[in-house]
Amino acid sequence: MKKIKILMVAMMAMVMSASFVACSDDDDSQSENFTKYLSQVESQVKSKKASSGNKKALLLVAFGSTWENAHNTFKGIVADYEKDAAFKDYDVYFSFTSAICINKSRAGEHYASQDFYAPNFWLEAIGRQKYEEVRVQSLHVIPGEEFLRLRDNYIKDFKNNIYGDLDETYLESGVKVFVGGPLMAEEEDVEAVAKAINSNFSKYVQGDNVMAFLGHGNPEGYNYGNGNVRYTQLETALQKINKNYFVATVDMEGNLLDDLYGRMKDQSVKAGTTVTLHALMCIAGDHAHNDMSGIENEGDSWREFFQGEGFKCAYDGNDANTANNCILKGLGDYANFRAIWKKHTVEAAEMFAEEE
Amino acid sequence: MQIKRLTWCALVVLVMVAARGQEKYDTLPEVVVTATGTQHRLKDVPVQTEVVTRRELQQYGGRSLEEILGGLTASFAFSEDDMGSQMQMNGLGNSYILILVDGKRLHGDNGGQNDLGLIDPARIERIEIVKGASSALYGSDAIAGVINIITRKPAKGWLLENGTRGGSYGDLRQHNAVGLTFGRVQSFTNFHYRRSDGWQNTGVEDPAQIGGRVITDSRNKTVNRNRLYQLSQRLTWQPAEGMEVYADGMWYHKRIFRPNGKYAVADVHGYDLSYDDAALSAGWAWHLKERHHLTADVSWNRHGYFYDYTSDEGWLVETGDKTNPYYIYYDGDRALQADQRRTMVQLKGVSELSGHHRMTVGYDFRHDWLKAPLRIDNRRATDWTQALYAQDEWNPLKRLNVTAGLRVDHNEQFGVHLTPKLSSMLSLGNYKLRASWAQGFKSPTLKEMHYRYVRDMGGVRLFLGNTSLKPQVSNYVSLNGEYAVSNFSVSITGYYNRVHDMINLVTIPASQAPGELILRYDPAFVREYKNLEKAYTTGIDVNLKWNVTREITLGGGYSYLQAKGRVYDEETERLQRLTIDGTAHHKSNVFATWNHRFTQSYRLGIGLYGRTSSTRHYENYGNGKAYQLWRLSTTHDLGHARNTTYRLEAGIDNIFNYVDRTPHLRHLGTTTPGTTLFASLVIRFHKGKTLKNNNNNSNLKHNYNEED
Repeated sequence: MKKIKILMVAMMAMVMSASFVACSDDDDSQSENFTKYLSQVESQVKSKKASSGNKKALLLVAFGSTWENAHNTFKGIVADYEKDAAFKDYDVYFSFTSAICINKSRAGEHYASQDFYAPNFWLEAIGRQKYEEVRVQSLHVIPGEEFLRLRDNYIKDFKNNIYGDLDETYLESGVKVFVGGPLMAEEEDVEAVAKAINSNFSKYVQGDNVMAFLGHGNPEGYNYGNGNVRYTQLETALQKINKNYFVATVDMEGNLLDDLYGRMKDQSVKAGTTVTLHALMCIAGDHAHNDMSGIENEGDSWREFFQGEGFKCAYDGNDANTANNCILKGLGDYANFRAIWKKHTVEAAEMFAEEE
Repeated sequence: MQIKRLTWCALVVLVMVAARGQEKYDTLPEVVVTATGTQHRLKDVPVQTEVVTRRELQQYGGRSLEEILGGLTASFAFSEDDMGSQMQMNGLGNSYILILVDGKRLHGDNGGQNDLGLIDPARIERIEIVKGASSALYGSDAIAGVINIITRKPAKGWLLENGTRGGSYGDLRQHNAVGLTFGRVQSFTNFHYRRSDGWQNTGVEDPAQIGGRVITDSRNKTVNRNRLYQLSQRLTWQPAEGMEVYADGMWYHKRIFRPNGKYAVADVHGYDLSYDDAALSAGWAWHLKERHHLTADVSWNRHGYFYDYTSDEGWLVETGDKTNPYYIYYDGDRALQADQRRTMVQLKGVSELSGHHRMTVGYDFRHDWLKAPLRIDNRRATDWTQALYAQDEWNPLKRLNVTAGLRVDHNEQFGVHLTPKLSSMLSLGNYKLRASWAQGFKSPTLKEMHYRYVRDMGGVRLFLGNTSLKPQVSNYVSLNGEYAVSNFSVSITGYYNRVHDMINLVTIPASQAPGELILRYDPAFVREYKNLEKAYTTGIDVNLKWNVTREITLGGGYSYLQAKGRVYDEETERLQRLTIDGTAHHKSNVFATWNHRFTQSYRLGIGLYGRTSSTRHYENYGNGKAYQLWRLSTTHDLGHARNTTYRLEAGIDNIFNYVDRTPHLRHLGTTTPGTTLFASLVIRFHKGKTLKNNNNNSNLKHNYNEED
């Protein structure tokens, strides 16, 4: 009954805020949207905390996507955390950092409309509910631009009470904040990721067959944390296991498709060889669908490039077809990669800890 | 067409040959109990009853109850799948068929499908089939008919039995029985194990059901690999002459293994299905001077249905819970789907009031408990029913029997429900005429009353139970004519069965759903269980059996069926006049058996069995193809050493290797994998009192009088 009451209140709040939006002027719609989203997030956090009684919150943060399979991967990651005994005391929340993905998902690009919210809404709502611990886990792959934005903007803004309505004492001493790094946060993670890759995909590099991973990477000038280096480190680690693994990106200067092809030629990978492609991202989203497998056939995908160079690299848009050489899955679809992220969550560093 | 012609030819030949039969080998010797709940010789039973005898079962060598009923009668159809056997009897499905084991209803279902694996074929003494409504006697579910499995009761003394049966596709069955007698106390322990690798008739998936994709190397099997174990224990005690007290216990586990292929849309399943069942019962029976019988039974049954997850990467499921909408399961995880528990108390008295009246009076109490965390409101629900019934078997004239019965059910939800029946039988020499009218009913199930299931698929879909459902009700009328002389019998039955208030999920305006749920789920559409549909089945069943000589028996059955319903159509959201899925107009079975004792220590039995079905009609996903299957089986009773007997059974099923290779997910006429071989060896050690077989007829074997 209590739960229903809370839900009713939450619903009322939603209905009321929605009706405010309905009668507001365009000028106000931005701030009205802000209020609306915050109230939606707050009602979710409120009811979850009320039903679980937990005092710790875990916020998972991904870049985002609008593809259905990617959303399913995210759901799987959230459920995996919720199930894990190590996080049984945590209320798990999930967030996108990409405004474009949030807006397009809400508009229902690719499939049914879904609501996602940026980390600031979640952190604000978590703060209002006075969770005693907030653990933020990045679902990014490298410690690059997106991870730094999360750590240095969103989390610090929360701690610094950006909207000015959180309890100062709470922020000062009532809450501990931890941040878990991305998949390859440290150099030592590279080794673990390489092992996980080989345990999942060794069948694709048997004989002369080649497997290439498509990472994102930070463009030149934005490589703040030098996160890009992880792609190079990963390829080195992988090639120690099997020389037929390659890692390249869509944005990292010096490690684009051409560079990849150059390295393949250096290793005398010959035309006619089978090339299997897989995204080196949490999910198989826009880059996997367009840059990697090129289902819209615009001619600039990796698959079309390799086919053009005489490699066997097929994809017909039908994921059921095993003759395809593009695997439209994200790293988050595999339990062993998720385990690495979860390890980071457990071992997360406390931010703002008082120095001894 | 060809099948029809063949069926008719077979029938005509049999009747013609039969007319010449003269010697006396009784075709209807059995005593049956199902039709009236009282003992009758088969030829005198007031309501037409079909029997599959122990001898027929042995001669047939069936692997499972499905195979036995499908092969030895014309009225049954099966399309085994993961959810169950998909049994049909004269056009109506398992949820309208009451299955009894020694008079007690089989417990536990999966969407109305009973798990027939609970019945160990080696323990079956005989199977009695009474078609049509029998709810006045048995209560809920007896709409299409009643199947009563009578199990073997061990004779006094010491018994050790081991049976092992092997067959194609990794089919292995094992049963072990131990019977002990200590004075007036007897113990009987039975262990039953069965496994099968299952088989695949096609690797082709139906593109229409997987988004137009073409898959030709699916790993989905026609029948999945499965394995079951069952252990049962019975203790009986005879405290006085004519009195028996018993206690029974049973434990059962079954797992259905589902393949994980490479196509997420088709053959990746992520979990196996398991059943964990248990039963406890106790009872008391008193036979007073052969004229009065009193019984009291108490039983408790549990049927647990689980998903056993098999995915290493995790298998994501919707929880329907807004705060934690998804849950992930890994290999080794187990999730309860449904836990059905039933407690029953049954009291019954039968009394011969005079030469003309035999009166039966009974009281039943039944309590059902269901826990289905993902499917029902409040995660668990209960329901109780009590019933009083009375039946009078009245013989106003020597040649006339009138049996009338009335049952009053009182249910927690739907209140009082009356079920009458009336039947009469006129005996004119070798001819019998039977006419009957009976009502049947099926109580709303706990699931139908308390279902709550939320799915979020581009808008929330809310599925709701309905506590104001009424029982589904049927009216069944039949006319039967039978001619029986000692070695030949033929019976023809015409029937009409009309079922109304049938329950189905129906789309309702969201505004009609409870406000609290609208607020909570904001559903895009709502479906609720309603009493809405109607259906009728009508047809003619013919059965005949002729003992040509002492050693040769011929027989067969034919079933003609018409079935139509006014069924709810999801697309148009209206009632439509539709075919009842799975029904075939023509079905038949024939058999010929020959038994001969060559020496004192070797007897051979050979049986040839055929069964046919015309096209099975379905509204969607294609009709099931007509089929014709033949089977040859042999039994070898090998010499006996003192107290030990050996019997070998071996045979070949589906001799002409017929396989229906219709793409997966479309309907099949039959799921047979093609030609299969089987062999079994039964070793039986028995020391104690055995009744001498006082009849040399090798076709006639009674209970434990036989020399098996």
